[in-house]
Order: sequence, then structure tokens, then C-alpha cells
Amino acid sequence: MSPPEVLRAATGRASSELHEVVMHTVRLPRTLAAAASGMLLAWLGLLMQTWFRNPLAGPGVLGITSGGSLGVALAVLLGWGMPTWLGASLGCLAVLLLIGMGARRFASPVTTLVFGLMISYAVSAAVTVLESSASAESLQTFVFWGMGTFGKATLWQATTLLGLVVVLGSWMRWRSAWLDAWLLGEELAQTMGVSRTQMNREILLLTGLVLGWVTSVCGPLAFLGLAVPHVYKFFHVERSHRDSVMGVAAWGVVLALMADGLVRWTDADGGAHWPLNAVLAMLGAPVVVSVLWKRTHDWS
Amino acid sequence: MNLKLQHAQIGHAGHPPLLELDSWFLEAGGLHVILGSNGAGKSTLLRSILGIHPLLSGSFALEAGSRHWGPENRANWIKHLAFVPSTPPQQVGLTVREVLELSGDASEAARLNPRLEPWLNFRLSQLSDGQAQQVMVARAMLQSRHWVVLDEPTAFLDVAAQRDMWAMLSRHVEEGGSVLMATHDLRGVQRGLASTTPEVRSKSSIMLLRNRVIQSIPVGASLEELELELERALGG
Repeated sequence: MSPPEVLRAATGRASSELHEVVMHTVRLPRTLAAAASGMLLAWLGLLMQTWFRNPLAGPGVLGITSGGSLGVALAVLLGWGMPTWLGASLGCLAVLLLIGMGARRFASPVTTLVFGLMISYAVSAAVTVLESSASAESLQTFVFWGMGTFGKATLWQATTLLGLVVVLGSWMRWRSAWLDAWLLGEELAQTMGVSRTQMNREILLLTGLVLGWVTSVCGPLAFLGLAVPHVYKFFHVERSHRDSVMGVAAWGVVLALMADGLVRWTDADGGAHWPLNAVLAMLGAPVVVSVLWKRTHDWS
Repeated sequence: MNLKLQHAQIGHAGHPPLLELDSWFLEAGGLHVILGSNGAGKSTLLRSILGIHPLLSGSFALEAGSRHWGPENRANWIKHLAFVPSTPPQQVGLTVREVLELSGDASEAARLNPRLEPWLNFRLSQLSDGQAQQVMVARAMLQSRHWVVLDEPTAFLDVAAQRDMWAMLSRHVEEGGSVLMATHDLRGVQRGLASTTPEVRSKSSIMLLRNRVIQSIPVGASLEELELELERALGG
């Protein structure tokens, strides 16, 4: 479809029925899902980096996404009568609780990250065991889900993702003073009026819910959460959460759409299909490396 | 806004109390310094007062005239007690202005300490420890006009930065505030007190925290007398 045709179809004046169908069942949900997931993962990355006061935190690094994978594996591979979104949410939440407990015990955020990494390995091992004993058909479903795609989202799913954007975005702005104070240190933040238990509870609940839903719709997406806040910090001065929420969201949208554009371009080319997670890693890994490169002297 | 502890046991649950204070009264105004060796319970005492560490037993309250209230009312408590930890936060990307505005008006802080003015648009992480600690003290002063509570605030500071910090603290007292500081650095305290005005000193006290009790020594106007008093207390 050419750009004018896209515009006509989007505004309900499609020149042919085919265009209308393509627009509403393929293009629109896919684009909305990509944009919404980009924003949500970018915010979760920012939130994890603040919560752990560690620039290398992110849903993927901490094993939270793997928890979602395990939940989906239980739902899909073992055929537990559980919808994938519930499996993913419960999986994310379980790992998040573990990490939260670890973070309270370990003084150093680096230890917490290593802890998250270990959980990630253990969970991946469990997933591998499930995979090896699964039927060929369900295994294929699971493996394709694991590569990640925005293309499977229905219009309804994309709309619920947008709903979560409103929820998480409002929460981030509402709690921005708490999140800013948290950056100054856990004890100091508490003497500034932050309720640690309340904040931890809200973060656990929101992250579990949002990441679970994104993961069940689009697969376990790598790197977006970790990388986007750093892209934002490279281009923008503002660091307070209130001022950076919109900028981080915008970069989340840009990177997610870029990645999806690349995936669609390889599809249209007729050559090898590049899975979304491969593209995200190709875009995201250099960002993370450049952060490490700049920070080798002072991250600990 | 006097600070009062009654029958308070301070320490960690499941361990013998670090401190037992039958009745401890800190009068508002002045610089109050708790001196004690590492592990004597200074930090735990401060954290208990700040309401981020539970008392083993007893209670404490702020009183002004006939009114008094405890730490249960967090919103009110934090308006009267603000905290400065021993190390300034590391690797914080927030600007000095953003940090100050979490607790009040940045220009008010620049009025309290004109040295802050040129740093306002710097990130906290770009400042030296001494500069960052001054920002943290200014932030605490914006949060509370009453008590500013500091835990080993000068531990990581050189002499010049320590002098700047004491200047800010006596400024806070001159404006009607109170300071409670824990430290093990006796020499630093003597130097710091010597740099304040006789009026600030007359309202100040040094408290020795040893053997689970606090012994209070008024600073008075004469530093020589204080030295004698301290020697007597430490010797005995």
C-alpha cells in the first residue's frame, strides 16, 4: 500500500475492501502494539534502573522477562489450562518478588543484578527442560513466540496495551517525586516521605502486570527496556522522572517502530526473515556497550 | 520544637539494646553533637529518631509548648526533621536544582548558601563530595526549618569542605533551627565549634555516648572549659 492509500484506509475511506482489511487487521494493530510496547518497556527499563539505582538494570537483565517465558511455557508446552497472558504475568511477578527479596538482602545493586542473572539462567534451564519434552506442534508455537513479534497482536490486544500506557505513564508522573528521591538513597528517601513498602508494592504489581501482558502479546522482548533510557540520556538533559517520562516514551516508540520496520523490510524482501528479538539485540547491544564503555571507571 | 525520648531502648531486634535512655531531652536551637566510637549506636539512635528504624521500646516525640507529636504522622514528622547521610549520593544524574526542588525552592537554598548558585545546573554527580554534601545539607534545610540530623557528615570531607559545612550549620541555628549531629571526630567538632559564634555555642551541647548511656556536656562560651570537661569525662 502506498502512503496515500494508508492514509485513506486509516481514516475509513479505503479505495478497496482489501486495503481496509489490511489496514484494520494487520497494519493498525501491529503499529499500535509496537508503539505501545516501546513506551511500556522503555518506562519499565527506567523504573528498574531507578529502583535498583543501577544503569544496567532492565526487565530482561533481571530475569523478569524469562519468568514470563516460563509462565508461557507452562501454559503452552505443558498445556496448563491457563491463558498465556496470565502465565506470563504470574511468571514475571514471581521472579520480580524473588528479585525484590534479593534486593533487600544484598546491599550492593551489582549483587542484585548477578542474582537476577542467576535466576534468569535457572528459569531458562527450566524452560529448556519443558521444551525438550514438548510436542513438536506446541514447541513450534513456543519457539516462534520466543522470537518476538508485534505482528500477532489483535486490535483488541493493541488497545489494551495502550490502556496500560495510560496507567503506567500516569503512575510514573504521579510518583515522580518518590522516584527522584529514591535515586538519592533508600534511607534518605524514607526521611523525605517515601514509603518504601508502598512503593515496592506498586512497582512489583505494575511491572508484573505490564511486562506480563506485553510479553504474552509480543513475546519476551530483549533490550528495549535496558537500552531506551540510555538513548534518552544521550540526547536529553532532564533527569527528573516528571520531566523525562515523555522523552523516554518517545524514544521507546521510535526504537520499537524502527525495529519493526526492519523486520517488515526483511519480510517484504522475500529473503531471510529477521526475528524481532534479533533486530532488537542488534540495535540495543551497541547502546549498552557504549554505556559500559563510558562508565567503566565509575559503575559499581 | 524540643525533642524528647522517654524510656527508650534503641537497638536491633533480637540483640541486647545498644542504648537505654530513660529520659533524654534536646532543647530546640543550638548544635548538638553526639560523640561516640564506631558501633556505639550513634547511627541507630539517629535512624530511630528519624523514624526509619523502630525503637525496641519506649517513645519519642517533638514538643512545642503544650503540643507534641510522634513519628506516626510521617507527613508532619518529616517537616520537622530532615536527614543528611554520611556519604553524598553517588552517580546521581539529577541536577543540583532538581535535588533541591524535591524539598523546596532552589533559590531559597542559594540564599542560604550563595556558593550553591553557580552549581544549580550541574549534575550532583559532577560535584566533588564536599560540594555535593553542601547541597545535601541545603536540601535538608529546605525540608525542615527545625531539626537537621546529620550522620558523620564530615567523614569524607577535607578541612575546607568541613569548614563550609559548619558555616551552613551555624547559619541554620542562627535562623532558628536546630542541629543534631553524630560523629566520632572530636577534633573536627572542636574546630567546627570554634568557628561558630559565641551565641550559637551557648545553646550547643556535646553528648558522649558510652556504655549504653548518654552524658551531656554543655559547650558554653569557653572552648578551653569544654576541653577540660571533655578530658575529665573521657578520662573518667
